[in-house]
Amino acid sequence: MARQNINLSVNGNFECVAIEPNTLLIDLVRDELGLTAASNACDGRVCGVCLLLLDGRPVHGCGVLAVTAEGRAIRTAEGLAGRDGTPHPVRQAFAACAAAACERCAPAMLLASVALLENNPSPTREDVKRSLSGIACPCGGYAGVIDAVLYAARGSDPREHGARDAGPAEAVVAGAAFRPGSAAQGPAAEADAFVHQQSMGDPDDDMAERQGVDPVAFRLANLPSGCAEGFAACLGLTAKRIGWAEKWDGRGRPRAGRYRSGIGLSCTYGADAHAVFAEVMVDIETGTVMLSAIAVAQVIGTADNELAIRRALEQDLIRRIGHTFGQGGRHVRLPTAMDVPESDFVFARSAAVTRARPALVSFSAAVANAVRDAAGIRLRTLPIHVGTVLPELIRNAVEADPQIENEE
Amino acid sequence: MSKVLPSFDFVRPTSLEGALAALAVPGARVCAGGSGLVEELSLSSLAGVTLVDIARIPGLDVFTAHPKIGVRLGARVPMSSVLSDIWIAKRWAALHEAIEQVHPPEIANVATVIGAACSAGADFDISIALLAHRARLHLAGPNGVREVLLEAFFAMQGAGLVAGDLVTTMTMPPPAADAGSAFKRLRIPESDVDISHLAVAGYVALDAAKETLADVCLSLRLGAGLPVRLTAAEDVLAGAPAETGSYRRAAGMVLDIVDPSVAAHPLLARWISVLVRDVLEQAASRARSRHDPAEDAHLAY
Repeated sequence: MARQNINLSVNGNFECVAIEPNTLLIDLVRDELGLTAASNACDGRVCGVCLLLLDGRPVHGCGVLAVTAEGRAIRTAEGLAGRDGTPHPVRQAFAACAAAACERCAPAMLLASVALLENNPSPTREDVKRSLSGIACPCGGYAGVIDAVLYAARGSDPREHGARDAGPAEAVVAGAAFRPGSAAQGPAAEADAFVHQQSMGDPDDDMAERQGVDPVAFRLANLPSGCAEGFAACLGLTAKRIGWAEKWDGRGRPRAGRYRSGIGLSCTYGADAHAVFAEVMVDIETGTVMLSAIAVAQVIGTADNELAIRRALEQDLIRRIGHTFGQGGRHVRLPTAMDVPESDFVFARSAAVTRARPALVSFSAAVANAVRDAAGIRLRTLPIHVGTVLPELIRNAVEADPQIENEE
Repeated sequence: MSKVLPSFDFVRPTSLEGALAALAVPGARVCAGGSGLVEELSLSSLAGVTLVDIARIPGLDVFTAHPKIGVRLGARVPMSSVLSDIWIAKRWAALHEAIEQVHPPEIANVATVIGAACSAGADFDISIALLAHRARLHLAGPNGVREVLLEAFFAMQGAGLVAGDLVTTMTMPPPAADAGSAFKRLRIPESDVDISHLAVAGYVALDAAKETLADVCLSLRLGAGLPVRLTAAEDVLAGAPAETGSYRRAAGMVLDIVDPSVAAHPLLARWISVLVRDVLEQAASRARSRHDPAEDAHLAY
């Protein structure tokens, strides 16, 4: 195997290197050229942290033979700064919006964002989500990055995109406020909440349903005594913002059509109480559940940074989406930016909370309650996907009309 | 240093004749985008081969698409070029949707359409969309220049190729005046069904009154299996009214055609049936209205 000389432009500089034909582009960049911002973490088109720009288009460096880059232009995250060291405008937008991309994924996110904006200066939110969807970040900080790219594109008021006058230090705080894998906040706690609220019978949702009472009104009327001050008002305001009164019209109403929308909520009480509202669309033919939007009511401490808490909640949400919808399974991909739903966060400050622990423990239960509202089925196990939802839909239909079984 | 790929030789011919001579060496493989090859190399299934890079061969980057002429694309055309073409999006919608669902999307910037078509085992489903659009492969090789229908290529599992053959271009005929197409893919997470996903693509042409199915082309792929053209279902649909009842009958037939073992999985049978019906409905709807497929984005699975 003879070494081959290749000529290429790297961040605007001409380079000539001799490489073995079996060298991958990511190895050329890291080992031969010493540009180590991009890394190779998965060895196979899964994580996307090896993302580089080849002739201005994003590619995974672990999936491209370096010899095929002959005569082409490569850009890495190191090449994004100005000649005087000024950070790239997209990098500045990341800081302004407290985008909590981790050290491992930030270079890839930056490059993907720059490539998008150079090809499409006015992207939609969907465009941004798609451009980031090749990067699977275990921290799940997609929402902040999406806000930052839209902020960089539109140059509008940063507060519209979740931004505030925050320096890089606060962006770090946003990432550090939540510790992935923490026993109290990770999937184990999620499963516990789901078991408590679904398998054992949701003490709130089932009782409200049996009594024919609006679930929000039921919860407001039965708040535990130890629940944080301000939570009731926060819950009411969040219900209003997600349009609960218009969307909830009572269980047991006749449902028609193939795509059925539903809304549900679930609460966790205590000093730093929170409620999660979820809106879903269920395709009753395939069993597909699409999460349309979520809204969160969260009690935080008087000294807590709202933006940092929001970013931490968004990160936690992505992990819980993966856990709830089974996207970390054998056959399917990890949650990506495409899975970020429309989200709204309402905070109530309470002196009883010293420091909020942002964790959407009630997320999967809220989704299950929304599915119950949409399709009339009560899911009692996780994950929620076509393989678990469709059998329940069929069982429910047969119970309602045994004739269907014979037809099937 | 990440994974170490096995050794291979790499040659860069500058003419078609040079490429054909290099490909005549036993074990030689074409390298267009190279993304599929990297995957094969990382599994060490290609140790000691010679990769023949076609990047410097003139004429292989041709790409034209016009609803009255058809599509012609060369072996070096990446998926992203096809994805951004307005005529592909409007009149070859199944192909557009199949490329749009390639994940991660960065692959489309490297991988070529012809590479994806020829490696039917790849984990994306460009090939079934190409089957629905009746794609033809144009080959150059020791036996001269010839043309092969993509479905024949799959039916022979590549056996129609001889050492030294190079797929130079692919063509797709123009769609009929009142025709539409659609592609649907359903991911199946871990369940009793040991198939990661299924995909269906269809092309529907209506008669002048837009009431009867004049021509139908339907293809399906289960997981990583070979793409199949559902000709028996197509025959039943040709001349039938363009209505839900016809699509339901075709969907029922497909279950008999595909694989008898499918019947052992009631959920899988149901998903296949729903996807076939949906693809036919959507393709017929597009044939009637010729509306922009982007408007159906909310109906994606």
